[in-house]
Amino acid sequence: MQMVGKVLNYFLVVIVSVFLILPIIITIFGSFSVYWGTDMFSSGTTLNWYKEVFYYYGNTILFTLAISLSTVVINVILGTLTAYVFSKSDHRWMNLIEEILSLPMAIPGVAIALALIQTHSMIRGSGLLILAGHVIFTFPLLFRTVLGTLRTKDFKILDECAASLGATPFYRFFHVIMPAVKSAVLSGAIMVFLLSLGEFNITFFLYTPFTMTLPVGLFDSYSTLRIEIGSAFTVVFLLLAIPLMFTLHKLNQSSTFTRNGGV
Amino acid sequence: MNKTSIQIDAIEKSFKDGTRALQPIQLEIEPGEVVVLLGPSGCGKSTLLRIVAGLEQPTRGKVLFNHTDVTGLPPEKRDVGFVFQQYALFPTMTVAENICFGMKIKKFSKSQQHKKLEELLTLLNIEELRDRRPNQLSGGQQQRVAIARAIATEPKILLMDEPLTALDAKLKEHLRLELAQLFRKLNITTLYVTHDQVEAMAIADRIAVMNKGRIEQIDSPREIYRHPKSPFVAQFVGQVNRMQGKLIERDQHKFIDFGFVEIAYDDDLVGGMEDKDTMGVEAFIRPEDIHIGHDHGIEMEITEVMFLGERIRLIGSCNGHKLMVDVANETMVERGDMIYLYVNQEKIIFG
Repeated sequence: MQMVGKVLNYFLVVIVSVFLILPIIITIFGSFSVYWGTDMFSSGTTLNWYKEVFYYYGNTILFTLAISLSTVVINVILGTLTAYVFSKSDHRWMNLIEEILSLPMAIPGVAIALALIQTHSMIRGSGLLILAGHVIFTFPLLFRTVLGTLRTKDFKILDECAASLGATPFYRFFHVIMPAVKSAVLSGAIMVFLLSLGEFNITFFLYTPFTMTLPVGLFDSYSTLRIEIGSAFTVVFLLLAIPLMFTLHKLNQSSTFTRNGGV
Repeated sequence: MNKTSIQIDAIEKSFKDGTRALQPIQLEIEPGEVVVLLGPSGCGKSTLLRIVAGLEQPTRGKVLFNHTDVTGLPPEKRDVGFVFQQYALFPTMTVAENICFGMKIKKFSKSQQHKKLEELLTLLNIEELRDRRPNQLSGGQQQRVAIARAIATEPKILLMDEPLTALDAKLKEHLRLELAQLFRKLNITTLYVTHDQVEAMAIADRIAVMNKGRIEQIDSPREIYRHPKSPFVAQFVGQVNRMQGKLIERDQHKFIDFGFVEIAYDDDLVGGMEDKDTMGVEAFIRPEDIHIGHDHGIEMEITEVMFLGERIRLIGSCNGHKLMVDVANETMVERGDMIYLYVNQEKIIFG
């Protein structure tokens, strides 16, 4: 009986893995084929598609990295500070505002994009609007992560203690609160980066030919060029995203990290 | 060390929902004195301490250090050391870094910091913990570090909020003694909050017993214990038997009859009792002030014998009155025994 259960377990794991990973593996293979027809490598293998990706979309990669990194920097500062302020207050109105600040996660990206265009159409060409969209969309993630940590551990007492030792609010934030929530901020930042890197919804409505991000470029390549270029592009994207995923996973698992962040 | 007095002038605190945490409170703490705020949870003692620290603002009233008004100052400008019940060590810093935190902010020179650190590590007996992080320390060790950190900058005033409450009984007793010695050594003006009366009596110069947002009595531990000025203080500090008596007159002499014991009425004992002729008299007697007699006295049937180690507590009833009596621990008595008691009348406390 136990044997059957074990087999069933492995079977499930294999089925799910195959279901999730197979398309990605096929895409990776496809990116190396000269012609992806009914069979993949009948015309041989090539690295040309990667050349073309960098030729056509090289600038989108840099632009995307710039957007994502800026989003991370802005939200780390904004999100952590806001969370610090919220953690110290237990005012009724603050609870309401906290809910409102978390709203962008629930609103469809289209709606955010359209609202942004309507409000600030002048800066659309500079790509700043895309940055704004990403910041708005990913803000709740960091804010929530840090606020959650600040609330579970008794940071109010740490803050008060540092104050009684003569530390100004500014000093307290950077020398006591920040180091103690470092792990939360870091994992929040990586999540923000990943989310921003893969963001398609909002960007699709805000981009111009000069401000194209990676996912939009991906869509563009699949829809206008050849499937092989799209596949190569996907692989480039995965190469960026996967190491970050692993780092995030490590961070969340690493017990020493949470222990040192604990009170 | 320069010494500072604290004046608490008509401090009042109401919370947003309208509950009154502190009635107007008046309290003067002498330079170098250790005053303990003692009371049940919710009596406002912690709130008062936090107001002195500047962590909370009073609704009305003033806090003065050396007769200088500090009510409007934030905690970081008050130069007080604060020790929390939860230790509140900075988790990302080592013990040494924790202790030096305040000195770094107050711009002590490197050599000063080093000298003070060594001094405190030795004083609190934590030399070997210097490079550990808080999560590698036991509760008692954490609290030692927290105390060292609080006194490192030689603050004018030391405030402690139930510093020993989170520790286990044995350690608590040990640290209590160390704290008492530390206070003598430092000679720093200290305000100390606890709900533990033994702790309060062990370390205090004066105890302020608080109840429902007001100070019921402020006196030396001995006075508080021997001469409580209100029924609340009598019952909160130490154990008491509550006695309800009435005034009677026989052969031209006045007596107070408590049902199981009668005592001669004395004006000195009961101030202003003339108006109370018809009303009952409330009084208290501590269990250790009732003794076992040989063959006569108040008869009591023992219903419970509790061996407490250093003494035995007997619970019994005489004439329908429930009574607690503490006797020496070698006394051989058992449940159901009849014993004779006499009351040390001088020790009766009138509320």
